[in-house]
Amino acid sequence: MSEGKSAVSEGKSAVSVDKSAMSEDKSAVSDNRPAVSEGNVNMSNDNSNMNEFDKQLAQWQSAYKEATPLVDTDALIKETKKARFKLKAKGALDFVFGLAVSVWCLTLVLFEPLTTYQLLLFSVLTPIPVAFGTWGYWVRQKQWQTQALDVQSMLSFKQTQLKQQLHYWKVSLYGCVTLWCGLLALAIFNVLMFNAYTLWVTQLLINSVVVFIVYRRYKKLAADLPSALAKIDDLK
Amino acid sequence: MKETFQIEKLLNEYAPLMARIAATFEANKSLQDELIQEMSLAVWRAFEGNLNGSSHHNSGFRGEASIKTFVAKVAHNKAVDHVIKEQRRQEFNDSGEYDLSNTLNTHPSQDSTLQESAIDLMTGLRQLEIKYRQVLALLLEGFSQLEIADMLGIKENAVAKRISRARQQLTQIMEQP
Repeated sequence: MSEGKSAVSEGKSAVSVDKSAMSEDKSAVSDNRPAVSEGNVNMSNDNSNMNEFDKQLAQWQSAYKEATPLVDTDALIKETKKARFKLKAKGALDFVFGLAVSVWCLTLVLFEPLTTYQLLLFSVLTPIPVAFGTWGYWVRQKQWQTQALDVQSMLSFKQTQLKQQLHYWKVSLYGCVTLWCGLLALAIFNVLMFNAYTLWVTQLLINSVVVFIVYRRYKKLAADLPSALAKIDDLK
Repeated sequence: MKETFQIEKLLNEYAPLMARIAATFEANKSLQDELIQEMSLAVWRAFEGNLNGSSHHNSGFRGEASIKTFVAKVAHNKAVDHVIKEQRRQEFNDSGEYDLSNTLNTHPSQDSTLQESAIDLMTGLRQLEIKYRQVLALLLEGFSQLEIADMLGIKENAVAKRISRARQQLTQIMEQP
């Protein structure tokens, strides 16, 4: 009997604990109510913000379409066709001119009686105009293709182009200085050996001007490069 | 003949889109016209490149649905190219109040509130940094964030961030008295 009583007593106390637990749960639910309510308010705010954003976007889109500049499409088509024709004609002319010079040089090499020096000179000259024309065509094609890239790739291409331009002028400067040094050596030799001043000094002066111009251009580009690259970075 | 017909059709359809992009990046009317022509030529050449199959694999269009995206991408490229060139010449002027006298909708019966909003919007847009102006202009054209990300070559979440900042900045500019 006593065991049975104690079991009933334990059962009661268990029920009591459960009740208090339920009461705690209730209070917890009650505590959470304001949070749920706040959540609902936040969601409602988010929705109203989204609606406001969408409304603002729709208004801006209408205003943007309203601001469409007037375009004379017929004139635009005509001008675009003309510009395209000019581009194509220029490309074709460059190529034909280069080909003509190369053919002329080749004709001289093959059919004209030339000295060894002339033969060597024209043999070297023959492929240059055609190669130059082909290179020009390749560069133009590459430039056009960059127009269809994404903006980031196009900007990176522009930065590479600027760096290559500086490199090109640097190599040109070294070339010009080397030629000038060669000319100086020849001038010294001719002045000392043959007492020929006028021609060599004139040539040296003219080439000095060329070297100076190339040097100034290189220095200007080198000084401008960091800011030019930074400006492109700003657009990225 | 087929090619001529296509470019005419293309320009007839997308000239207003290119004009809007040009107006977003260049305030000077004559430079704006030059830019629209450069865009048209670039679009033509880019399409030719695609038709000849000689272009970059990421740069192509994949049918009618993406023609608008392709045109907008080439036009934006050209606009950014123009900004770089003009900045170098140091004569670049992309700000100032927008002139609505040369727009499509100049009828007196037009809604004056909408016209005022158009002036405010374009004047405000031109005060934004180029990267913000770009995403917002594309968003206003109705492109999705994914399409904008593809056109600009950046990630979609970067586009979302730029759009958010651009909207905040533009709202602030437009609220200024």
